[in-house]
Amino acid sequence: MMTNNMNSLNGAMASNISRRQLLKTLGAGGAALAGGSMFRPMSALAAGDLAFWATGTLDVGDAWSRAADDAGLNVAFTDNGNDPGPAVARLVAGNANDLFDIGGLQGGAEKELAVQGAIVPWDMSKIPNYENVWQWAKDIPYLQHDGKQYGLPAVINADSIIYRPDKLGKVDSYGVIFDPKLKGQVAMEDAWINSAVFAAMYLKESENQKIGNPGNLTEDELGLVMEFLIKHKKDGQFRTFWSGWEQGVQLVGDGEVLAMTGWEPIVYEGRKRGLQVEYAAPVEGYEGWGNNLVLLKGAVDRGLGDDAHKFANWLLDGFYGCALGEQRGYVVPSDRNVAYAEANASQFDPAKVKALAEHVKAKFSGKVAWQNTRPDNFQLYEEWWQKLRNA
Amino acid sequence: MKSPGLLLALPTALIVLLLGFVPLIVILVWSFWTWDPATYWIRPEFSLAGYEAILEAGRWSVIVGSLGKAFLTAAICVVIGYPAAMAVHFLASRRTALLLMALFTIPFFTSYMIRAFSWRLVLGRNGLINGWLMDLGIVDQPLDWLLFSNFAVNVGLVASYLPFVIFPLILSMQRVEPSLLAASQDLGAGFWRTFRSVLLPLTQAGIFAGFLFVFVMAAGSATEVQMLGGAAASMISVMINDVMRVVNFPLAFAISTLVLIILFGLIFIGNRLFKLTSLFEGFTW
Amino acid sequence: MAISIGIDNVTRTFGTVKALERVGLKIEAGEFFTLLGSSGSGKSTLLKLIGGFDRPTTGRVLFDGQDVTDMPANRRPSNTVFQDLALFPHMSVGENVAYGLKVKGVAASERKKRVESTLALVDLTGFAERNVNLLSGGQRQRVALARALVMEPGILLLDEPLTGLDERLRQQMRDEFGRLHQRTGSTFVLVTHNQDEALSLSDRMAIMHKGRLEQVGRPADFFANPANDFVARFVGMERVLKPERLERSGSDTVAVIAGERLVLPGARDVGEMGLLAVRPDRISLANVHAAPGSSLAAIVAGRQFRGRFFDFYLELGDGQKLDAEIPIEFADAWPETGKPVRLEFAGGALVPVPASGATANRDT
Repeated sequence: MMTNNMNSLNGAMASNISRRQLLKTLGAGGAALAGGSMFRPMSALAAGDLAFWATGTLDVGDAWSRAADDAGLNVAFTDNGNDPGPAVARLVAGNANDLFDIGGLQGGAEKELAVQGAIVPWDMSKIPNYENVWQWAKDIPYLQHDGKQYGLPAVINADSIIYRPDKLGKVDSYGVIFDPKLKGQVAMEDAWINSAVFAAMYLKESENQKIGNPGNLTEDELGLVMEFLIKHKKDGQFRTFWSGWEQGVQLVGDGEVLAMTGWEPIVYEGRKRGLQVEYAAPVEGYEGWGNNLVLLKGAVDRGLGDDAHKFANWLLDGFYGCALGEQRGYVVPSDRNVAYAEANASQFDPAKVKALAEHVKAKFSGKVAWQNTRPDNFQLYEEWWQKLRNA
Repeated sequence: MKSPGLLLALPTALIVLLLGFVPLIVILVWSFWTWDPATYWIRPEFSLAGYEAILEAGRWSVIVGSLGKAFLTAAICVVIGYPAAMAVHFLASRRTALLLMALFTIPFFTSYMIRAFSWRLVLGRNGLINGWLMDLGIVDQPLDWLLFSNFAVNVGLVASYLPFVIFPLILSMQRVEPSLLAASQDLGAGFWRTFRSVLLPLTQAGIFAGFLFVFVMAAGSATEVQMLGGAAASMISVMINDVMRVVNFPLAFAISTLVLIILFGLIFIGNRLFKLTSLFEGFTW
Repeated sequence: MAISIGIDNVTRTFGTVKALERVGLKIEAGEFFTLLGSSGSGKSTLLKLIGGFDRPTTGRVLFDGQDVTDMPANRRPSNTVFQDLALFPHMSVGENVAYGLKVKGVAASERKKRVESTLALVDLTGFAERNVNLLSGGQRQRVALARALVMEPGILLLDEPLTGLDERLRQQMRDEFGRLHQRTGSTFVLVTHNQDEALSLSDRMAIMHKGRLEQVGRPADFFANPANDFVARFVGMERVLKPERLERSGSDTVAVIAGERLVLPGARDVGEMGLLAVRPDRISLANVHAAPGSSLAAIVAGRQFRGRFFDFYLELGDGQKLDAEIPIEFADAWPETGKPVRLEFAGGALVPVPASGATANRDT
């Protein structure tokens, strides 16, 4: 996933310990200090006004005005940061449900949010465009809970390794990241959400370790994976751990690393700077991820449930998919994008829209391990990642 | 109320109390509450789990390491900042002094992020420094330890916080009467003797204040270690941020409480030793 | 050992301002010499040049004939008592006094002895351990003196050291300076704007004005033969009359003033265009019949009681004003305001002086 958000950490900190958060948590702790002022003013609410709180990747800027033309929806987009952890925390224990109507979150937290009562299921009869979503996207685990649909895949992609073929030749395994010959010349992301999955995929597929689902490790599997990462960290295998678009681009662009796990757009950026950069198709497979729409309980409480459904349907209608593909190179997993481009060829190039869709589809034709922001052992993941940091 | 001054100071005192004291009390009290991982909520039940968790997952070593980095940064800032402050105060004309102070301040108009980031371009494998070293034939392989290392973190921290040591030093130097330096010279002392026996002891409050400013800010920094440190390098505030990802307020506040106690202890001892308050005696606008 | 000071054609400019302009001066070894002037006269600049805290733009400074112009302060055999005393606030009285000896590398036992004897010299026996910040003004003054004197300086420079003390203490310290000058035999150079201090302490003194020496000499010379009307005014002869002209008559000077001729027996020749400085204590009031030639007609413009005398304000026929100090036992006999009188001038009551601007700026 990619967001142009260097301030993710600060943003998360600020939002986490903001006054509202303190009050809210204090209220939850027993002292009912929570006043009316901490809610969105009712006067600001009008029919069709929707607050969309999502990963920055999903923002299409001025193109949101089309939602007003097409569906009478005034969409106010707010970036929820690069890191799904704090976003979930704000939904569960914070004020996000008071401020926003629809969430766009990296997939995996749906069950947790549903159990905590922060989100409510979609009424699929009100979203006819869901029919055109690619079947394998509909099959993403954790979109459903208890037989109900909590997540709608809005954007989908798969990540692997960015590398320099001029220095390394062809790379087709995550083994390159852990190759002692490349000590100090490789990097991973500073987040278990991606890095633990990559390491687990490698251990499972190439070192025949007993690992079930790389996206949802058991306690023992997690220990194995994290000890593996800690050992390599201590050996000085990693140049650094990176986070955020600029840091990722800089590591590749300035030749600090020869290979690193990361986002495909970094490859394009590296090529723009005249470097030979490729995106690997590893034998262990890609890490697939979906950014899913969730319906916040607060929206329904405020009577915006129908508008939210209208919005979800509009998002899957084709225009948004074309706009997002054009602006950011990301794909909404639906055939309606191509259909829309073909019907509006003056606006979007159907060939390009199709090529982008095929490119993503091809990645998912082989092995894929799904990214999961809330594995069952979520707390252990967090604890292990801190151990890795502090090791 | 007899004194109108006291009455006027009352609202300010209340604000200081509310903004400073109340949050500290909240932090202290909540650090002893119970955190429920299932709901992320905290319950007002006494627990030492937060403090126990400090000893787990290598957190203790991060606290010690962060304070060590902060100490080193503050010490280096004093050593570099002192001559800089002397240059501004003693050598420069009023105009040049203003210009120099502006030069020290201007980096602050850019963000910490961008400044820390730009060090990557200077210290990197193909960065400015390695380029020079290789051009001059001093090394034939780029030095890897220049970036993504404690060295790089310290460079970033020193560059970020240097001005904070310079201003208290200038303030303390302004409080040293020029005639004292002349008197020392008159009694036969050369530059170093005057520096050691007169200027240094008389500016110790400024040295300590500057040291403390930098120490506190460096101890609370996150950007530099994240941008310039090695793989997953940590710092107190990075650790607190990690803990807050699971909304574990008691642990976050236990760490904060511990760090605050250390900082207050440092200020208390420093004030005893170096008479920090003397820096502001007779201070007028 | 006392050291002589030579100031050789020194000019010091700050930007476009000339703080000192071609000053030449010789201060003898062991002399108590005072630089007297108002602020901005250049006296402190001159002292800084002697102390080594500043360097002349052009010209030389000589100690015992040796060129010390480029010698920094810490190597000069001179020590200074600063205007603000400049006591080291982080050191005790004893540490302050010992500082210079310590810098010089004098052994601890010797240092202790000399500090004690110097403190005794300035009446501060037993003060060594005291905190300098808690002393009285007079005590601080003595510490500053002791700190300089312990170095046994060939030259002691005193930069307005009595400013900020009350009148009683000033008097006391003034006496102290005199005593210490006698005891040490060093060359003392005092900078002050207070003429009483200058007159009572100095062997010789110089009056400075706008970066130039207006007059150099023994204190009495400044009254008997002021170099010009500026000097006359500076030493207290505030009224200066402008005669129509001065004429010579044998060894006397004759002033033509307000239409009358006035003979000044034995007065010096300052040329036809000279002025007359007035000493009000040497003027008496006579009745209108007093003899012309030794008296002038005037009108009483007012009077004021001044304790031991009455101050009469008088106006000459041509409108020029002057004062006369008349002892109280005679005052009742004299006329009220508006009445005509004649003024009688005792010897030295009117001192012929050249108009200022015509001085040589040198003491020789």
